[in-house]
Amino acid sequence: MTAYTLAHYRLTLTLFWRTPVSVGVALGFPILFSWLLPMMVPGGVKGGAPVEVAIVTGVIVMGIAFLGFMTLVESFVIKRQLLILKRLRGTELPDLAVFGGEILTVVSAGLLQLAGIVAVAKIVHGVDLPANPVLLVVTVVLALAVFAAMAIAVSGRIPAQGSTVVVSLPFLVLTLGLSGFAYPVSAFPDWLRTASSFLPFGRVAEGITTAYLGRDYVGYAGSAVPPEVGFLEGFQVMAPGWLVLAAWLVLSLLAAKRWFRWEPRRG
Amino acid sequence: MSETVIEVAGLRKRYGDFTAVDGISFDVRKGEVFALLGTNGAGKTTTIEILEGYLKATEGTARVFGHDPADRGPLRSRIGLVLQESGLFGDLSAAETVAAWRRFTSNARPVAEALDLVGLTGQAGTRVKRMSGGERRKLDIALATLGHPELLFLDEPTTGLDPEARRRVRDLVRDLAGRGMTVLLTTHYLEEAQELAARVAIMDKGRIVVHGTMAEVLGQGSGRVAFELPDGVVPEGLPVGESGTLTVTGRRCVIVTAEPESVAHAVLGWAQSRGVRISGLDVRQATLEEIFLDVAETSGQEVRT
Repeated sequence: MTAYTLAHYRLTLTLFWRTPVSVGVALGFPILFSWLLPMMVPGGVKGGAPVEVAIVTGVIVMGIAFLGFMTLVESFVIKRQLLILKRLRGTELPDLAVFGGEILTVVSAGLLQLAGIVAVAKIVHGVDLPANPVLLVVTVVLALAVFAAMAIAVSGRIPAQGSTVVVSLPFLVLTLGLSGFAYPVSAFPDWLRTASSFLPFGRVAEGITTAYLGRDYVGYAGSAVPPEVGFLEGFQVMAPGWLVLAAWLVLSLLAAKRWFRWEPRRG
Repeated sequence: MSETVIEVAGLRKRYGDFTAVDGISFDVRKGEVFALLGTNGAGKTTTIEILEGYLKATEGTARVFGHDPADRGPLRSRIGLVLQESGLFGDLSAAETVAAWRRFTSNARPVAEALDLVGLTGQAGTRVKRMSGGERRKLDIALATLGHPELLFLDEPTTGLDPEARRRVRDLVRDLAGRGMTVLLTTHYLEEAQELAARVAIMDKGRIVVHGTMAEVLGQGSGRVAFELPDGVVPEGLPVGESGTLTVTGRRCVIVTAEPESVAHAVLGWAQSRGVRISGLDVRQATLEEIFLDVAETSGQEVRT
């Protein structure tokens, strides 16, 4: 099982690096943004965090969305329509190894991207390295898993390759809008804050900000600097976030079981 | 004596009101090449996809090595599939594709051997997107046979290829069958089945209409004996054999019969005894093509030959 997953991972990783769109857009753009965006926005404090950190957080969430969701939706739809999934299913690969290989590819690319963004933020913009790097990695990996599961589910509802934009665009809007990147969460109207607290986007952003600054940004609203949290405390304050992410993971997996298709949709 | 590899009994597949496969039965024995022939939409691909585990039967039984084909686990490493249509990664070369497949194939051949087996050694470094249809088909077969499968499914392996590529693929299948692989083949090309298969089943509208060894199936069809009589000679008392039928058009006589050789002997005997000189004698066995066309004609469908 594990050997099959790793075998498929090596195949999908090779293909990832051979696809200029994946490397350029999904991996490269967010790193480029983390370099350019903080230069375009005046410094200061936004939503209780330094503007650079708010931007870096938003860029990380956007990167996860590109890789975990859009890359995978595209990959599964293309492979299904080209009858590559059907062929793979006729090999010894178990179904789970087909998914596992793809998910490992976006997780490894996501970690590489994260390292790139953190390095650019530090070197170019002087943003301090994350206070709790383990929390940062755990949040990013879990977020990638949730978005990947959503991608697997949604790919089954997309009839053809050209239509992926129908889901990618709204997903990107939710990602940018709710991660506090475009507009500080603290300035959201109440109803939107409540709605957002049940969605993964803002929760992931809270985890990243908390990990970066070592302060409790979970459910944060207002302008005061929140209290510091230690290493384990950081994981504890994220409890509502973990719950929301776990719920979305389970829901997405159930939807994937129902919606995912191995063979092309016709007509 | 010979072990049964595939057993199909009373197999049915319905899609709503449409019955794609309508209660068929056949079996495939170890080491033989079995051909499923039929017009477009006859149900060949539905049948083979049930046996490959892609589709579930509505009724009846299908067994591969004694297992339910939907239960892929125990079968995976014993069967190789060449689907009618399936994708490859355009950005990988032939050798890279085989190398990637080797990592999830038990008992896999070395890359060089796999490519050599299908005659792709010269294209090892060619990216799949630059390959011709025939070369991709060979790569399909190289991947399907990578793990020395005992049973190979070939769903229209030569459809869409030019005659030269078809001939090469056919030689390759004969070679693999010669190594003891059991092969279930579907095809439109009758000469392909006639050349490769020991046994055939002809499907039409979801049913098997003709089934048996190649000799049995050919025996069911009609051969013909044709000749011309001199002016003014009537074919009175002309022997046509059992169940033979005579058609006379001007001077030309055609006898349609299951036993063309013995009827030809009798016709020559008749001519000699009457002192009649016949000309343009033509004796032919039924071909699979004629039997196939008979089936197709009765159902009024289009046939590709």
